[in-house]
This record gives sequence, structure tokens and C-alpha cells, in this order.
Amino acid sequence: MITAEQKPLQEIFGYIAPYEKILVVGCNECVTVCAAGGRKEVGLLSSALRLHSVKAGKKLEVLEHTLERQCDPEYVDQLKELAGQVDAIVSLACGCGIQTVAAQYAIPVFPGVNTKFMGASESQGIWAERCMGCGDCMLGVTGGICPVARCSKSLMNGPCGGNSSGKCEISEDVDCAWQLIWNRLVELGIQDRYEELVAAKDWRPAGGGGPRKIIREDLAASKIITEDMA
Amino acid sequence: MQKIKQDEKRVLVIGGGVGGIKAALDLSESRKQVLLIDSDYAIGGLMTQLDRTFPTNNCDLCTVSPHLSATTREKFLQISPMTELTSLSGEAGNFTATLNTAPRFIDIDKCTACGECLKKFPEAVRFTPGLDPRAPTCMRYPQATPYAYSIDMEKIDDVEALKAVCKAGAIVPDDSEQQIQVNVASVVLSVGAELFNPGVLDNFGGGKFDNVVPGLEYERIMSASGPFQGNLVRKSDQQRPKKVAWIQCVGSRGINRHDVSYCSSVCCMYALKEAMVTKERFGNDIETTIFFMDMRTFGKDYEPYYNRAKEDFGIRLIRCRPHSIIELPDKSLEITYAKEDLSLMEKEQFDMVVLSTGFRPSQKTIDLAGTLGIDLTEHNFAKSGTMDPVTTSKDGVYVCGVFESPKDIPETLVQASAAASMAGTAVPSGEWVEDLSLYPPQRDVEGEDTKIGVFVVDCDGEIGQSLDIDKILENAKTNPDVAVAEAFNLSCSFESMEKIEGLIKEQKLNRVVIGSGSPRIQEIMFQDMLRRAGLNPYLLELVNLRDQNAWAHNDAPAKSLEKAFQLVQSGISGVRKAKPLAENMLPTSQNALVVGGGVTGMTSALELADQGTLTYLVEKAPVLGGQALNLSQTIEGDDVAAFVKDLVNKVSAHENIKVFIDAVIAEHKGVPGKFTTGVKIGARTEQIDHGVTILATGATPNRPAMYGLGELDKVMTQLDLDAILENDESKIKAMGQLVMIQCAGSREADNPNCSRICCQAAVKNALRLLDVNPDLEIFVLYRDIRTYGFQEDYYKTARDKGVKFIRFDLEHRPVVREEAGKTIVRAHDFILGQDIEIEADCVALSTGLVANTETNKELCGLFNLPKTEDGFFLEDHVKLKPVDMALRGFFVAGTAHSPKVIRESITQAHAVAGRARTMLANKEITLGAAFATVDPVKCAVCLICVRACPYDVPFINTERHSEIDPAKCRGCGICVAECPAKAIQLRAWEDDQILAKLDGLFERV
Repeated sequence: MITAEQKPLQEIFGYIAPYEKILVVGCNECVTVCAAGGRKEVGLLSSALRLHSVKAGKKLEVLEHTLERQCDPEYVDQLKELAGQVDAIVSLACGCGIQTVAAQYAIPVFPGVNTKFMGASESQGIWAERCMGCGDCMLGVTGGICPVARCSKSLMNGPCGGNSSGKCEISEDVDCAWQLIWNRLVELGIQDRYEELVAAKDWRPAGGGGPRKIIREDLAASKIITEDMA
Repeated sequence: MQKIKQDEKRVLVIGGGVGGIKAALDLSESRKQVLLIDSDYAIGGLMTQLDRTFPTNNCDLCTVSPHLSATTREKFLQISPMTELTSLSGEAGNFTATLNTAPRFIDIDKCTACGECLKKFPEAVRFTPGLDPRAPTCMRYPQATPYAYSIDMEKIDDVEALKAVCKAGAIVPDDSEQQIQVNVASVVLSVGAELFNPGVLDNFGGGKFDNVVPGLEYERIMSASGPFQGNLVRKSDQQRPKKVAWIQCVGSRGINRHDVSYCSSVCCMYALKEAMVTKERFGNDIETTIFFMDMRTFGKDYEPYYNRAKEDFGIRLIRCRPHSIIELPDKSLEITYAKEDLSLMEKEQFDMVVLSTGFRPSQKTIDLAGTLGIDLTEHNFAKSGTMDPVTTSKDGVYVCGVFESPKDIPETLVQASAAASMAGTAVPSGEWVEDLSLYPPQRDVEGEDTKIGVFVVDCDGEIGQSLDIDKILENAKTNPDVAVAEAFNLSCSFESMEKIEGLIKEQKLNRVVIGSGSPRIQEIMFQDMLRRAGLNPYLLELVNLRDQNAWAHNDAPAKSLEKAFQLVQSGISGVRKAKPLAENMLPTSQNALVVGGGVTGMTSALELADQGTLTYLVEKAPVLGGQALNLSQTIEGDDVAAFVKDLVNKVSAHENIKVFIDAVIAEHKGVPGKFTTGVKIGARTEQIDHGVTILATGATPNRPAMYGLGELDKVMTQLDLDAILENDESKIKAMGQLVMIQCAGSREADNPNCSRICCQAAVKNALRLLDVNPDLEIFVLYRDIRTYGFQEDYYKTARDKGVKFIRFDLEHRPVVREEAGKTIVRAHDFILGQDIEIEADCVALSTGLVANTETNKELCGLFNLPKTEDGFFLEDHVKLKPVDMALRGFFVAGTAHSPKVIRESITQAHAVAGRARTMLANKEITLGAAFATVDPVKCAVCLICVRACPYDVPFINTERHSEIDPAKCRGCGICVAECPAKAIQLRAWEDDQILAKLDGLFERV
């Protein structure tokens, strides 16, 4: 899941200052699950914006809407009518959603959240980074614990000297990923894997080769075929 | 004389004070027929005259039985005022009671209590709607019942003129005495006692000096409906006193003419209360002084109340029983008294003196005892079983309240529930009829235009005295859909209710807004009213004008009125969105769970099992018996060991009791009336179903590391001494001097409460020691001797027999040391003004009981129940619901509630069994209509509700959305607040209703 956190209100106040009528758009996917941009947060942010405008003696009308998913143009199309009534949009989706909205409407679109990372939920209200999308998954050799996302240095062959009692030197709250990997390998009885050297990682699939794109020929082609048939 | 015979078997409750009312309500809640009689023309008893009650300093009698619907009450409870018992024949289970009802000359059903007759014939018309607005008229059950006048016909010369005055035609000039014979299975006596009249004493000027008043009269003066409309003024000059004194034990704890020897148990607390309320209400410029002998704040959390009086309120406390009062020319009063540390008399002037007088059985109750054929004690109280405190000497006749022994309201209520429980065993429960079927069918209001009735129902002037109710109503009427807006004076009286009910039907109202007191009590009551009027009970909004306006903003009437407008407006806006909701019903489990196998738990289990309830008894230890196993005798001389053995045998052999020993509670879920609990016995866990839970987990003997306990050989606890007395008398015979130290580990900063049992334990052991070794010198070092009630007699006997009582305080603690093989206690003697040393062969510490902190903490966690600060279970209401826990279906008894002697624990054990049966009498439970529902379209299956729910109710179903089972949902609303997709709504509290209320609130802003 993609995680996000609401932006500081002051920043959002700044973005919308020039406008009198805006739309706050939420997304019912990842940002709802991480409690950053669902229907509830849309309501809370809208109320905060209204209160702020009253306090500042400013005229502001705020419309609210939450889409099923903001990173699909078909869903974003549903905003057409609302978008036509407002001067600007604040999107509470992740960066993907914000850009999809911005691509479809010719009015300013502002982020209401900071998109953080791909993470998993540890317990109620706690999310932690688990994947950096390196494009060449090595979890199969690291006992299911990712050194790319969870080692501060993304080291490939064991810990650095900063491992102290299983914690990373950057913070006592951060586990050393390689300590975790070692413990896990011991638990599984496959410590010998640890001795296998991992070659220098090719970072091109991780984004080093420029913006990435996936094309599923079969799906993409079928779309073309149907269009052709029509 | 009219003679009537009634054959239906019932329980007869004699005395309509707070105890009798409680007993009658418990019985009717258990669906047993009950007849409540009182010789007065309205019921209520002594409590109705109190201004406020300790330790909450409120009057909340209305909280006594909120779960009893008016409909059930009417079906099972009959009330006869002005009625006395003239004879009782037959035997337990089948008595015939002959009752005489005096003529009232008023038809109760017709009288509207309009007051016209009282205006014209003030001499001849009797009516006491409650001397105090906070008392009987705000009693839900029953509010100045019957709410009707009565006439003293002898004082009426012109009957026709009287008849003409009554527009209701309620005057019955030829009314005559009625004699009724009723078939009675059992009798509960709750006849109370009178207060001592200090006028017979010649040294305090009671009844002679204007400004010397008994405690109860002082409460009347402070009361809003009292002679001075709630202004505290002196009778002599109508001026506010600057200095008020209280004198304790007037007529009690004495040996002089007119004195009684026993302690009245309640006066210390009521004097503290009166002094504190005086400061609270009339400002700190009034100096309050209490003259006392021992401060007896022995009840649950009463000691912190005493500390608050001293520390927070600055009440001055002088330890002395004053000699006399003389009246000065300006009607001020001069008290002559001697302080402990000065060998001379002091004189001090006060503006007013309050005499704290105690209880005396009245001649009428003594005569009644004769009629009934029950034995009385030497003090003319009902003689009750020493280990069976609500039984009298006659089978089938039970006693509760002050007639049994002096006691305060919570203890009276506990005894009332216990007596009702035991008396009720003789009467079968009424057929289970679903309450809802007793109501008219609900009108379908869907599609109707909104038609709102706004009713401001005043709590006897509490609202009206600071708010202009007419203006509130006028303002409400500006809403076009408000069809009726009216005010009623008596919030919870039947009369107000009936009139509103009538208006709802007549005007075809489909929404109701009530402006009144707190919904905590009143919601159930007004919902019941809507049902009776054929409306769904959820078409109601309550506006708390009393607590949120009248009480909070006395100082700013204009703003308060504006706020009242807004609150009422928000109620109107909210009620427009209200929808009729259906309540879920579940069949209850008819089994009981008793946690704790001591005397309390076993007694409760036996009583429930005898009534056919399958009872699970869970004990942590390998044997039943609890702390009583460490006790040999009670102060009355009962053999505790034999008693416990007998109980264990009965419990073990009972077919309806399943005992688990070495067992603990491991899991718990469910709703009141239908619980499932996992009992862990060794490695095995057994799941049991039960409808009620009784907490009887007891307490632990304290062993504080003080005064050398655990270090010096000769220092022990009273329990250790008890064991020596029981097993090794030769050791006692060899002793020359023995010292007891009271309050060891109690009334200290780390354990501020009084342990209640230690004073009587010390006196008991002192007397037993002297029986074994009459030459033994016993010194009791104490802070206050708290031998309440008849325990005082044993205290006196101990003094007569030469036991020396030496007081100490925390600045002058005794010190115990060992020196050259001798154990020496050093203490301060306030009378000598110097330290003394006593060589002791034994030092017995009175250590009291402390909560089973760990067990209670665990159970509170599992059952979701509150604790007191010192770790005991916290009951729902310290005054009026002393054994009910806040969560329905849970009851607490014995020392798990607070320290107490066995006899008191047994009383509570019976009381909780009775309270449990009131709950089990309902074969179905109403779950309430407020439960959470999920909108599947909005649900993002995020799991936040699944994780947030404290009861583990939501789950993700196969349809891929969260689902909440309405039968399990408790309607707490946590998931509703947490849901990030706003997919969950709480019925009865939906967003549109709340937003409508907010719009109403801010309409004018």
C-alpha cells in the first residue's frame, strides 16, 4: 500500500489563498486505509479550511468528494461536473492520484498530503516502509526481509559496522535489516545462504534508468483491438 | 367500616421510607406481587426531609431503579398510604394480614393536587409534596405518591363549601375507614425510627433557644422549600450566622438520663455534610465547628470525605463533648467545653448551634413489633439473626433499615434488597410477559409531516428559578412544525407524564423534545412515556436544561436564557431527523456466575440455587471458605468456623451449584443478560453461559511493615492473636500486659480509607482475652474508636472491664522497640501531656483489610468494570445503588466492595442475590437500537474498525466489506468515529441528526 500523511494546514492554506471556491477530493484506496485521505479526512480538512476562512474573514466555499480510486482516468472523469464549478482542487490522494487529476482538469490541483512510501500496517495506526520498488526483488535470498528498503544504506552483503545490539546506528528505533535477515535465516536453518555473495545491484530497474512504465502487451493490445473493431 | 378481602398471595412491605420503597421496587422488578403500606398520607419517609445526602452532596433518589419500567411496576406493586397493620395471623408462607386504611376524604384518582382546598382550608388540608424540591417530588418512584391531598374532616365545619372548592370533584365527605384482609406470604419491616428530641435535655437548650436546632431542622432551613426559601438564617433575627457549631452524639453514646448507649452511626457523616454544604453554598465567611468525641467515618470512601472537610473546606474540629449551652441576650449561644489538653473549661460564642441527634425506635414500631410477635433488643430495635441480619425472631418476617440498627441510606438499601430477596422466595414470580406487548401498537409516522411537541418539564423549580420557561416555549413555537409547547412543573411525576402522553395522542405529535434534567436517568423514563403514547421511543430528543443551564449558569441569567434557546433549537433540529428504530431482543441466560467462594459468594450462590438458578461458583484457592477460615468468633460470639463448615457442606451438596476450585476467570464476552465466560481450571478452560455475575472476591488482610511487624517477635496482627486465642490459651494466661495499635496501615497517606472492622475486632479480642486472663492489662492505642451502632455496647463493656484506651494522632505515633529482651511501646498521652512507655508481652496491630489489588485489576480488565482508587470494585452509585455495578448484570458484595464484618457481608450477599434475580426475571434483554451499520459501497476494507472495536465485533465478510452484528454491537460508536471512509453510522446517532443539531445550535451565530 502507498502511505501518505496530511500536509501541514498552513501549507494548504497558502495554496488555496487566491481562490474562493475549491474542491477537496479524497481517494477510497490506499490513503483511506492509512487514514490520510479518505472520506473522513476530506470532511475534516474541508471543515478546517472553512473555519480558517471564517477566522480570516475571507470568502471560501469548499465542495467535498471522494473517488473510488484517483489514479484511474475513468474514476477521475466523475469529477467533471464538480471541477467545472471550482477555481482549484486539493487532492488527498497519493502523488499518482494528484497527477491523474491534474492531467484531466485545466485548473490548479494542489496536494493535500505528502506521499510517503510503500508500507505495511504493523498495528492500528502504525505503518512502516517495506518496499522501495527496486524492480528486481531479492526477498527470495534474504529470508523475506528486504535490505533495499529496510537497510539504511541498502547494503547487499551483510551489515555495516553501525549495527549495535541489533539496532541501526541512525536510531535506536530502527532495526538493523541485516540482523533481522540473519535471525530469520537462522530460524529457517538456512544460514549458509548468508555466505552467498550478491553481486553489485543493477539500479536501472529501480529508476536509475529513468521513469518506469509497465506495458502489458496483451491487455494494452486487446484495448486497441476492441477500438479497432468499433 | 368497609371490609375487603384479597386472596392473591403477596409480600407485604411495611413502611414507605427509602428502605421500604427499595424492597418494594426490587420485588416488583423480580415480578413478585408486593403491597407497600405506610401510615403517612404520602410515602417517602425520613430521606425526603434531607437537603442533600453524603458523600455525593446531591439528592439522586431518582437513580434507585432506572431499569424498572413504569408498566411493570404498576403490574406488581400496589401502594396503600394511611394504612396500618392491625393483626397478622397464620404462618410463614401463608399469613393473613389485617390492614386498616384511614379515610382520606379525597378520591386519589380524581385529585389533581391543584391546591385550591389547601388555600381555602389551610388548617384541615394535609399535603406535603416533599418538603424539599430535591427530594420526594423528584423521586421517580414514587413522586410524592400518591400525588393527592388529604383532609382532616374533623377540622372542617362547612363540608359543602369544601366540596364547592374542589373543581375535580374529588372530595369524599362520607369516606370511611377500610379494613382489608390480605393473604401475605412474607413481611418486610422497614419502619425506620424517629430522631431523638433534644428538648428533653436540660443542658443544650434544644426547643428552648431559637438558634439551637437539631440536625434535621438545619437541613430544612438550608432547603429551598424550607421556612426561609433556602436562605441560611437564624430563627431569632433572620440574619445569616457567621459562626455555626455542631455538637455530636446528642442523646447517643451516653449513660445519662435520656441518653442511649449505642451509636447512631450516621451523625458524624451528616454533620460533616451539613458543614461542607454550608461552606459550599453560603461562602467561606461562615465558620463551621464540629464538637465530636470520635469521628466515625467508617463507610466506603467516607474517610477521604472527612479529610476533604478538614483540608479543603477548613471545617474546624474540636474533640470534646461540650458541657452546656447558654443563650446570650442577643440570642447568640455560648458553648462551654473542655479540650483534651487543657484542664479548664473554655467558653466560645456561636451564632447558631446544630445538635446532631440520632435514631430512637418510636412507640408505634414497638407496638407494631408486639402485634407481629417479633422480639426486640434491649434498645427496642428488631432483634435480628447475628449471622442472618435481615431475619427476625419470627419466620417469614424480615427487617431492614434503621429498625434493625442505626444505619445510613446505602446500608439501608443493601438490607432492603436483602430482605426483599429473602421475603420474595415465598412468592412465585409472575408470568413472563414481554413488556413491549403491554404498550399500544406504535403509530407509523413515516410520510407524516413533522409535528413536534416541545415540553419543558421542570425539576421542581430547579429550571424555572433561573430560566424564563415561558420565553423558552415562545421561542420554540417560532418553528412552524412545533405544534405544542408547554411547561410542566414536576419532572417525573405521573401527572406530568400522563398529560404529555395525552397531548401526544390528541395532537397526533410525531416528534417530542423534552427540556429537563440529565438523560442518564430521564431518557428511559421519557422513552417509556413515548411507548405508552404509541410512538417509537427514538422519536425523542432530550435537552438538559437543568444541568447545562440552570445549574451551570446561575450567575448569568440572560446568557443562560440565550443558551437555553439554542439548546432547545438544537433539540428541535435533531428530532426532525429522528427515525423510528426497532430494538433487538435476545433471550437471557438464566444462570449465575459467582466469583469468589468465601462466605459472601457461598451465601449468594446458595440463595440463587435455592430459587432454581443454576449457579457457577469459582474459587481461586483450593478450598472454599475465604478469609473467614482465619476467624474463630464474631463480636456477638458466633462460632465462625462451624458456620463456614456448614456453608461449605450445603454449597458442595447443592444440585444447582457447580463449584470450580483452583479456578480463575480467563475470558469473558457477551452482553448483560447473556454472558459467556471462560473459567480456567489448571490447563483446562470451561466455557459457561450466564445472565448475571456476582463479584465476591473478598479482600486481603493487610500486613504493613509498621510498628515492628515481621521484625519483632511479640508484634502480630489481630488475626494472629485470634489464632492464639483459639488454639493456645496458655500463652494468653502467661501474659501480663498487652498493647493493641489501631489503624495500622489504614487512614494513612498510602491507604487513606478506614478499614471499618478493626475497632470492633480490637474490642472483641480484648473482651475474649479478659475472659481467658482477667488480670491481663490491655492498652488500646487508637485514633478514633469507631464502634458504630450496637458495637458501642461492647466498647463500653471493655472500658468497664478496665481496658485502657489511649488516643494518638499521626504526629504522635506509637513507637515499638525491643530493649534488653523486652518489647516496649512508647505512646503520647494527650491528657497527661507527656509520653508514656508500656512494656508489652504482646503487641497486636489492628491491620484491617486491603483490596485484592491484582485479582480485582484482572477482573476489572476482563469484565470492563471500574475500581476505586484503593482497588475495590466501584459500585454504580455509592448512595443509591450500593451493590449494583455500573455495567448491568454485575453486582458486588462483601469485602470486594469495601472492608466489612461477616454479618454485613452476608447482608450484601443476600442483597446481590436479590438484585441478580430482578435481572433474571427478565427472560429477554433489550439491546437498544443504537448499533453500528456499515455502508458496503463506502467501505474500503481497511480493517480499522476491526482493530478499533473493544468487543471484537466487526469482521470483513465474504462480500468484501466490514460487517457488524447488531446483536453483538454495544453501540459505543468507536468504529464510527475511526472509520476513514465514513462508511459506518451509529443508528440513533447518525451524522445527519448530529449535523442538524449543530445547525440548530449555530443558527443564530
